[in-house]
This record gives sequence, C-alpha cells and structure tokens, in this order.
Amino acid sequence: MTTGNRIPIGIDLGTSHCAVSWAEPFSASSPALLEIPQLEGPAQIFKHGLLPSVLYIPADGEIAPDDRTLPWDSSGQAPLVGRWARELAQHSPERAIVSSKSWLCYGGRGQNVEEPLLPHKSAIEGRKTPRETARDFLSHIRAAWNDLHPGVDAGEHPLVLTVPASFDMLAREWTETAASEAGWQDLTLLEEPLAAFYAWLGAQGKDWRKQLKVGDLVLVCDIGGGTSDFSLIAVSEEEGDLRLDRIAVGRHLLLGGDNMDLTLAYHLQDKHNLNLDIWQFQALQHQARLAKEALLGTNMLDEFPIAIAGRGSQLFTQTISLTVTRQEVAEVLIEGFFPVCDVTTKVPRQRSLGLQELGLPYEKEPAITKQLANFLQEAQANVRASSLLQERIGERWRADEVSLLPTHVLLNGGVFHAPPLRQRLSRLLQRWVGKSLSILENPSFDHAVAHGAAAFAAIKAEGRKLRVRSGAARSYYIGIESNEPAIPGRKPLLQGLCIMPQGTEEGELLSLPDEQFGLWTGEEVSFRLFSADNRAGDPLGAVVRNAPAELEELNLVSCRLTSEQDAETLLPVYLTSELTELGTMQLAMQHSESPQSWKLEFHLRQEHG
Amino acid sequence: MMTNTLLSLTLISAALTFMALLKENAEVAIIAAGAGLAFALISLIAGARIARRRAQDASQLQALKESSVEMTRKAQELETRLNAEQAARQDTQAQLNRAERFQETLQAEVDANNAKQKNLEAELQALRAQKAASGAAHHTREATDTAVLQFLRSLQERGRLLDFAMAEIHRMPDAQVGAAARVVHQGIKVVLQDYFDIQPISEESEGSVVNIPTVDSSKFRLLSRENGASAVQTRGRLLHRGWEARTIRLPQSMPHAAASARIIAPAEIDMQENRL
Repeated sequence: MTTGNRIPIGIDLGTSHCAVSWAEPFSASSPALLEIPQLEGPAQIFKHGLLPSVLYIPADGEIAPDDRTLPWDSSGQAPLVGRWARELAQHSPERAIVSSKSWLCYGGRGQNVEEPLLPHKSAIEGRKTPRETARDFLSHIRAAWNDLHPGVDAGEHPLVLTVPASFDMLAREWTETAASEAGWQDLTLLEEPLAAFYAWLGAQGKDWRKQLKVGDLVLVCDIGGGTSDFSLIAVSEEEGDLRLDRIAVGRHLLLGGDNMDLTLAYHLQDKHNLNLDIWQFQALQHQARLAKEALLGTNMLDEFPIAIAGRGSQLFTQTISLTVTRQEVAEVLIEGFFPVCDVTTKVPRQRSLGLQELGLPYEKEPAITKQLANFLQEAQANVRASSLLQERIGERWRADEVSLLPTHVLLNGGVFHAPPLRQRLSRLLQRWVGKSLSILENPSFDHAVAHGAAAFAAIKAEGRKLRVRSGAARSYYIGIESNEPAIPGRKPLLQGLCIMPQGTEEGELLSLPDEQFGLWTGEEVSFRLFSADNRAGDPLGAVVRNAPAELEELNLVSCRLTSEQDAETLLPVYLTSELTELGTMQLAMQHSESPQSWKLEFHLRQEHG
Repeated sequence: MMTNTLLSLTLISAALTFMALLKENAEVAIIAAGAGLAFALISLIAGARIARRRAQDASQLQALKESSVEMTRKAQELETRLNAEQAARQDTQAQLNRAERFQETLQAEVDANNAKQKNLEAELQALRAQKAASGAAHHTREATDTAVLQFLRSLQERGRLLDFAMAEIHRMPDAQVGAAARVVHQGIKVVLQDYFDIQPISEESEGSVVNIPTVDSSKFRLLSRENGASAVQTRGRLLHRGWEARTIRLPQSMPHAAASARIIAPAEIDMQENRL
C-alpha cells in the first residue's frame, strides 16, 4: 500500500484552531505535530503547533504587501490566516472571518452557499464563502508543509481530514471540495470523536484489547471551541478478534468552550454594571477565558483579578479592574453548562429554522449534560429501530431501557483541562450508569483529534485492519409527491423515499430498480433531499409518509440529462447512491435500459424565496 | 625449324621426282611431285604464318620501346618535381621553425599575463571579502534591531508594555498602578512563554543554604568571596534563583521587515466617529 516517501498526514480543521499531525508509517513513535509557520506581526513569521482558524481581509492599503509575505509567497497576496489574523480581528472584527467551520454545515440551509457571506453581517469588499475559507486554511497548511518538507508535494501524501460526526453529507461534500481545491489529492474524511478514539487506541498500543471487551460501549464526548459532538462505539467479536462499530452520533450542537467564555463575560459585565466598548468587551471575553482556566484549573485559586485596559495609551486611568471568584465561575459555568440532571431529561429538537433566518442556529439549551442525556435516549431509539445494531451491542441490549448507557467514556476537548468539569461529567455519568463506568485516559485534550487523524492515516497506509466501522451516520431520503386525489386547499403530502440507510458502508453501491423516474432529456430536474439521525431501521426503499414533518430537509439535488438526440425524449431511470471511500455521498440516475448514468449534483445555487 | 624440315622434305620430294623422271618412273614421279607440291604448299603456308607472327612481334616490340621511352620521360619529370618539392619543404620547415620560436615568445607573454591576472583576482577577492564583511556587519546590526523592535511590538500589543513604561507613574495611586500592572503582567507573560522556555537556574528556595556547584560556573554568581577562603568554602546562601532561557523560539523576520519595524504600535483612529 505505502509507496516509499508517502507520509500519512492528519488535519484537525477546528472551529477555533487547526492542528496538523503526521506519522511515520510502520513506526512505533507517536504522531508529531507540525509547527506551522504563520504571520505573527508585520513581516514576522512564527512557527506554532496551532493555526488559529481566523482569516483577516485587510482594507486596501491597510497592510503593505512586504509586511505580509510568507516564506513561500513573496507576492504578499496569500490569504492572511493564523495568529496575526487573530490579533487584527480584535482591532477590526468586521474584517475577520471566525468560526467559519460552523457555517460549512449551515451554508446550504437558508443561504446560497456560493454567496460570499463571511465575515457575517459585514459590508466589506472581498467576502468569502465558508468553503473558500476552509480552502484558504488548507492551502496555507499545504504550502507550510511543502516549505518545511521540500520534495514530495503535501497534496500527494495520504491526508485524513476530520469533520464533526454530526456533519451531514453536504457539509462533508463541501469540506472535501475545499480540500481538493487546496490541492490535496488523496483524501479521507474522519469523524472527530472517532479521531480522538484512534488517538487513544494509538496511545494504548496493543494493550487496548485488555481494556475493552465484547459488549462494551464507549461514549466519546468531544467538546470543542464551537461545537459539541457525541458518538457511541460498540465492541463486539468477529472471527476471534474485537470488532468496533460506531453505532450512534449526536446532532450538530453549536455549543462549546467559546460559549462558556462569552457567558462568563456577559455575567461579569452585568454584575459589575460595566459600560464597555466593543474592544473592551473582547478583552473581557479573553480575560474570562483566563479566569475560567485559572479558577477551574489544577492550582485551585479562590479569586482571579481581571483588568481591562482602555483603547488609549493611558493605561493607568483607563483600566477597569474587578475580581472573579471560583464560586461564581462554578455557578455560571458548571451549573450553567454541566448541571446535574436525570438521564431521562429531554431537549426539544430545534426544528429546521425556516429559510428566512440568517445566521447560525446556536443551541438554545446550553446545558451539555442535558444534551448528553438526550443523545443517549436518541441512541437507544435509533438502535431499537435496527436489529443489526442490536446485534452489535449483543447481550447488553435492553429494549425496555430509556437510554443506551455506555460502559466507558472518553472525554476530549480543551474544556476538559479543568478538573471540576471532568469530575462533574464523569460523576453524573456514574450516577446514570453505575460505578462500573470507566474513564479512558485521553493522551491530549487539545491534540487528540489531529494525532488520531494521523494515526488513522498511518493505519490506512499500512493496510492494517484496525478500524472503527462507521458508515453513514444518518439515513437519507429523496422527496416524492404522493399520488393522491387533489383536495382543494390541501397540499399533497411529500413522501420521503430512503435512498441510503444509516450504517451504509464506504464503497457500498445501492440501487432502487423498483422506483422508476421518467426524465426528459435536456431539462434540469430537481429533487428535495432529507435526512434523519434516529431512523436506523429504515431499509433502502423505505417510505416516510410526511417527509417535511418527520425528517430534516437538507437541500435540493438536481440532474440534467444531455442527449445527442435533438428531440426531447422521456427516459426511464432509477436512482443509485454510493457512499464513497472518502466518506461523501454520490447520487446518480441510472438508465434502466442501458449502462448509462448521470450524476446528481447537490444544488449549490438555490433560488431566493 | 618446321619450315626448314618442310623445305628439306620439298627438296627431297623434288629430287625424288627428278630421279623418278630420270628413271621414267611416272608413278613415283607423280607421287614425289605431289608430295613435293604438298610439302611446298605446307611450307608456304607455314612460312606465311611465321612471317605474320614475326611482324606482330616486331610491332609489339616497337610499342614496348615507345612506352619505355615515355616512362623514362615521366621518371625524369617526377624527379624534377620531387626536387622542386624538396626545396619547398625546406623552405616551409624554415618558416615552421620561425613560427615555433614566435609561439614560444607569445606563451611566455601569456604566462606573464596569467600571473598578473591571478594577482588581480586575489586582490579582488580580498576586496570583496572586505566588502562582504562590512555588509554582513551592517546586515546583522539591522536584523538585530528589527528583531528587538518586533519583540517590543509583541510586548506592547499583548502586554501594553510601552503604555506602562512611558507613563508618569509617580503621580498614580497604587491601586491604579496595580490594575495596570495586571494587564502588563498577563500580556508579557504570554509573550515570554510563546517565545522562550524560561526556567529558574536553581530549584532551591531563596534564603536557604545550598551547595556551591562545581560545574557550569557561568550560571552562578558567587558574592562576598574572600581570597583564599573560596577554595575550601563549599556552601552558601541562595539569594536569587536565577533565570535561564532553555529554548528560544523567536519569530523570524522576513526580508523588508526593517521598513515597518520602527512602528511599534500604530496610532489608531476609529472611522465610526466620522460617520456619527
């Protein structure tokens, strides 16, 4: 499999930071972090293991080209990303793109995804689409790699790029497009919680089989800067060896460490009745993060003094000072985000927020523990619907339970540096599960995703078998108008036809020869696409009666048949779907009387209204 | 020879005929005469043949004689030319000898020039090295200045160090100085942690009595040392733990960095105010 000088690379394209890890194939040493050269200030390059996911768009003449040249780009025109971009963002937030990754998953909902809408709510020139922003980060990383490792282009090395488990097929497709536009050719997508799990596997070496046994269920709880991501991995047996299956993923939650800092900043502003300008508020948010880390950290301070400087140079007269206590951080953050709750707590699902609403659908329920309880209930419902998944869980499966409870938990993400947050979450899980719950030790809360991605890339390159089978995390449906007698004032129901069941494995080709569509050549035909994360039991061809009510609508897909014949002809076709090896979905219309087929395109341009 | 024999035979035949005629032996005379005639005829034919061959031989001989004369003439001609050429060669050789002598002179001149050039090159190299050395010194100084200015920029940007240091601190109450110091402390600590790995040299607590290390003398400053005593004194009181930069990760300056480095913090203007 491996050809000479191919180096497996893993990239964690994070909401707030990117990290790049790489592994020597067939080497026992753990993956190394790439020190990414990036602008630190004018004409100043700093190498750091993290590349802040911030892109700054300077105004005309704001920064001289000479001041923003990179070791690999003397034009001074390359996108300005990283540490200096983050610093500039604090001065001119309206010129900075932050959290673009969250937009990648929502770009196709209400907005035209080809519309450059970032920075959000900004009127500057040169705005970008979420995909272009992802492409710019990945281009920077590729150029940085090539600068540090002359020879084989980074794009030719096998790359594993991580995405949230909750990313749907469209978000995965756009991530993949961004990577190939940035020049990466050999690409595989990996879910972030799985990457963290691979990092744990890698750190255990061969010993992992001693820690996990048949019937175990591992909960991966990944809380990043901007998103929270849950997954369950079942351990079963196959041909005398342990088999790992990812059997459930949570919904996409825009809730993470950044929300905590913001919450604490608002709390302090209200409590001390502060009148802050936009820059001071940003400084307060930054200080709130430091206070959170200090007061919840290992050194157990009781108080943390905060000082917010004004914009002018008069440091002494303009500085506002206040004190944060551990008790108030515990109240605001631990009780606000990790409250003790029952395993039966339900969080109402946010319905697809009408197409009119602009901006990101931030989670209305900030309690991560409640979201987790809800996830375990949905996982139970999901498994209940599929005998295949029940088989994977084996003897531990209890149909009458409300929640699917784990035997092990792996915590990941920077917020878990704080021991009180780890303790709160693990004690609560123990209350739900019982004392038998084991905590798997994470080798690095910050870098496990990148390291796990590199470890996975190495496993692939070496052709080793160790894999967590994942397949499609959701099931996908195409909308079909039902044949009903017309009733005035009542719209006919739109049925959902399952075209890809949950758990479909990579490389699997599915076809529905019983459902024929008649397509006119030369015309564009559109379909509505839906998905669900809790209907594991729906087989290929299953029909959901009322798709818009029971499923989540994703997007339009369209197909245009070109024919050499001049006359318009009606061709009988059926639908085929495939989960590609790199983890994206491909839909095609297959002519029923010939081997011809036409690819369905995800509708990137959506008409307004 | 043959003709002679034939002639003899003819004569014999004629004699026999004559003798036969004398003896009036007609038969023998006719036979002898016939034989004589035949011999005569044969000898005539043979004679003619011989005469023809002789004529041929004579003409060939003549041709050979002529060609021999021609060859002799040509040989003479060649000899004449050879002589002429030998003379010419002698002349050329003389010229060649002269050319060789000339070449030798030229080579000597070229050698002299080469030597001169080498000297000049060495001189040029020396000059270049001199110039490079002075340039490098200039470049190093400029690069150092730039790096220091950029470091100051980071300290100001994140730790407001210049706002702190340039202010009239003596008029300020301690509470305000303290609040400002927190801003500075937090910011410059982040910068120092990013760019260096700074660790105390001694892990002992200040004020305690410590052994005086014998290695790495540059890391320790020994105070109040008395002459002679230090040789036997092995312990002392730790006053300051010292600091050491274990690793340095300073940013790298790009070409043209010097141009903007003197702007440690640009003056800031809010454009929103103009619109209001």
